[in-house]
Amino acid sequence: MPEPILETRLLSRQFGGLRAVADASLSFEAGVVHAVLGPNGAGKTTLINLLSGDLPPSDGMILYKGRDITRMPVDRRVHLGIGRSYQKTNIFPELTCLENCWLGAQARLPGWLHLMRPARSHASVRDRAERALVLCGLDHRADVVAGTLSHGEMRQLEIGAMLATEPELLLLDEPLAGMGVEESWRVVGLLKRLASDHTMILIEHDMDAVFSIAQRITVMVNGTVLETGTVDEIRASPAVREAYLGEEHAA
Amino acid sequence: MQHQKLALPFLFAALAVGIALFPLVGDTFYIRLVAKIVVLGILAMSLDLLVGYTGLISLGHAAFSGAAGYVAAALINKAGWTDLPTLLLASLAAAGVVALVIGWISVRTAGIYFIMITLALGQMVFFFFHDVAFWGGADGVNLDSKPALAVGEATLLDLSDRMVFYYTALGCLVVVYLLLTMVLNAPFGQVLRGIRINEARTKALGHDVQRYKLAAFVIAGLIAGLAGFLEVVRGGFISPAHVNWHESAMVLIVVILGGMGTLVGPVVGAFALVLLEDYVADLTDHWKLVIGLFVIGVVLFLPDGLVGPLKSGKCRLPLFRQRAKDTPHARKQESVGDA
Amino acid sequence: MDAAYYLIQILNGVQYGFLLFLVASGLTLIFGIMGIVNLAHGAFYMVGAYLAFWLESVTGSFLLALLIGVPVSVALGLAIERYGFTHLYRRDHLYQVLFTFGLILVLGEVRAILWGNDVHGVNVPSALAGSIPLTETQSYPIYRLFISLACLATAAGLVGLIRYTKLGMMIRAGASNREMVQVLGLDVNRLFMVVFGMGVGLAAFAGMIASPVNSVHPGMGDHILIISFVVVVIGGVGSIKGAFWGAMLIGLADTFGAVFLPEAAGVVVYALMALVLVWRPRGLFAGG
Repeated sequence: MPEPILETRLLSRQFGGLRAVADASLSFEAGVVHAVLGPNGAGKTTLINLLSGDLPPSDGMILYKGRDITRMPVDRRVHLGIGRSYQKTNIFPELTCLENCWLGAQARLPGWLHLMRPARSHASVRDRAERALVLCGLDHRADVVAGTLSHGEMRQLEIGAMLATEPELLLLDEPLAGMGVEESWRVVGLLKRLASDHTMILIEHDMDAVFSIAQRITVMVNGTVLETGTVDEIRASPAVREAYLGEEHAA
Repeated sequence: MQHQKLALPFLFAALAVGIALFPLVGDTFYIRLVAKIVVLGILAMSLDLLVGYTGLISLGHAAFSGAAGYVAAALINKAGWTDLPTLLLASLAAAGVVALVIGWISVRTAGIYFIMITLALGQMVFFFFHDVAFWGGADGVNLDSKPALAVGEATLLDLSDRMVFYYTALGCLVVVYLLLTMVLNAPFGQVLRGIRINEARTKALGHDVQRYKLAAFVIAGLIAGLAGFLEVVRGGFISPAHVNWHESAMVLIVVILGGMGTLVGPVVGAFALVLLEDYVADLTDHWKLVIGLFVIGVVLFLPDGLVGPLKSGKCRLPLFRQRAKDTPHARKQESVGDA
Repeated sequence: MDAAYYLIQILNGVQYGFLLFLVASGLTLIFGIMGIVNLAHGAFYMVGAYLAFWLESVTGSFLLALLIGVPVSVALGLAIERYGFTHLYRRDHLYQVLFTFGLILVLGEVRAILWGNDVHGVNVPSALAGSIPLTETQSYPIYRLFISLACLATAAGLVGLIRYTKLGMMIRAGASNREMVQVLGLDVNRLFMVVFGMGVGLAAFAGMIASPVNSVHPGMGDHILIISFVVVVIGGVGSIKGAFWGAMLIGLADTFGAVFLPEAAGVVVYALMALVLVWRPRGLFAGG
């Protein structure tokens, strides 16, 4: 059994009396697309926030490639190779698509106090930003102001900004949120392309998308992990069906 | 698009040339006034770095310029220093230290807390210079002499000479503008812009935003220190009023009035406000009333400032500015405890 | 320095704390519910004090001054909210800061026009004059006790309003999630008006009842403003409980600071704030 790229041990997060995530012990293999499913309020977004560092845990540990990153701030996790995209589009609306990818691309510059040479003269940064745009399918829209993009394109840019940091592990919070059929199809294609050389942990409600991309699934209910397994195992599981898939099919 | 990008620097160049040529046509009174405006312009540009480019609303900016001015005055009066470079260095060091301390405490906070803390810490500095007798008390101090740059026997720059000071100040204005432009175009400036537009995402893209904010604070503080040094030399006088938060608020108004996030806007704003104050003070004793109404008017009707329309290539659709404020981080900042 | 002396200082510190609480609670409500940075809050405190001075000298009755002065101040506040603040709710804090700073200048200058820049005193109402003896040689002014009681009563009323009335429920809802209140269809405009009026009323009332013990002078608004900000920051924005404990802390610290470190008295309060912030950047009681 290869070393997992990411591991959580009894990871918990409390808000006052509410246990949003309780004792989650999970293990994510490298190169695998891992989906986290569950009804609303199951704790999925909280879990992703804990993994990305946007939220500190109340208890438990997170290990990345064997290294304890439980208390590590978000920006340092990026340098280790963890990237995160958000459910609610979290871009820089007044900047162009290229500029949106620029900040992520710049993170790979050694040091931080670059005060003199103009930003655009740093060829390595420019290359990385452009590559991210190509990856997320927006290279033809590089100079368009992000705020004027369509919703679907914005979700692509949301992922593109993250890709500019050249992450190994992608944490994707509902990448298909609010998308129509045509747009979804394009982003699913993007995710499939990314899956070939990244590890992905993804929250998503669109079941068709999940079953076509994911290889392993974790189901959460009320903050706890109900079951983890391959797509087929989860589809066949009666517990999962009762807790979650039953609701979906009824809907 | 290319034209728009050049509009602001062109405006600055035109202003600089205008200021350089003004003494040929202006009278003594107005030359003095323009010198005051130039120094205020430097101070305002430094605040624009924080407010307009990084999104940090600091209400304690006068603490840095005031500290520099007070230290310069003390060194001149009590230690008898006259050498320009060493005096300037000492003043800048003072401003830098104050900025480092206030910045370190302040950048740990955000939103409304940040505004209130910079205000309160700035006032703490005010009380320091007001209460501690060494600094001259509530009435302030007059400079015994003005610094000069001398090499061997030759005096190169004697700042007690009005015209020498005038052109030295103008030179500083231009240098500061070029310096800030360079920093803002560099990768450092890109991160500052990211912090202004969407701090949480900037952090999530791998940048230690606290460090950047502190660095911006210190850079702004140092430039404010330069302005403070120039101001005390110009007027030959410093008092606690120079460090009061009302002073900080007025500099903020200058930035907004001119147009924040443009660098040249604050300089234009300095012109507008000083000329307005001068004009109104002649008309009535209650000029503060007019200025107050003017400030309210600017906020309600001219939020982009005088130079705002020249700003290039930014998405000015308020809808999208709102969206950036709706990020989880902005909401986290706004969430409050139970009443 | 005997026990009676310390008792007096404690009573003074507590009284100052209560007064600060009134002012700070108004400030914290206005920010917590309306999201507005109100730099002019101190100016309303000053307006209250000057109104008390003027009405008392005109009518001869402190009580009458209170009864007329508070509604007048509230009316002024509501007018400013209606014609000024309404335009600023969606705007950046920066514009609120500058708008309210403009207000400070305007209100200050109007005050100067009406009543000049002199320092004034207000007479302690005769019914509350006199002192309670503590020891053979020391006594404590009844009026100061009255201030503490009046503040305590007002505080109790405020807490009662917030905990037990429908308006209070809206206030609590608004404090924790402003947008949700709007989405639920509650009349946010009305709520904002009420909250702002309350805030102004609290500040003006505090200014009025404090006027017999503090002098009425031009800089008083600024002074109380900054201290109130310190209280709100320490207590946590939007928290009444925080405003209370923050006010008590500052009231006592400032009073004892003046006793033990007279030269550094002004700095003590800020040093305290800096310490709290380094430990808890969002105040002691913020966010639950």
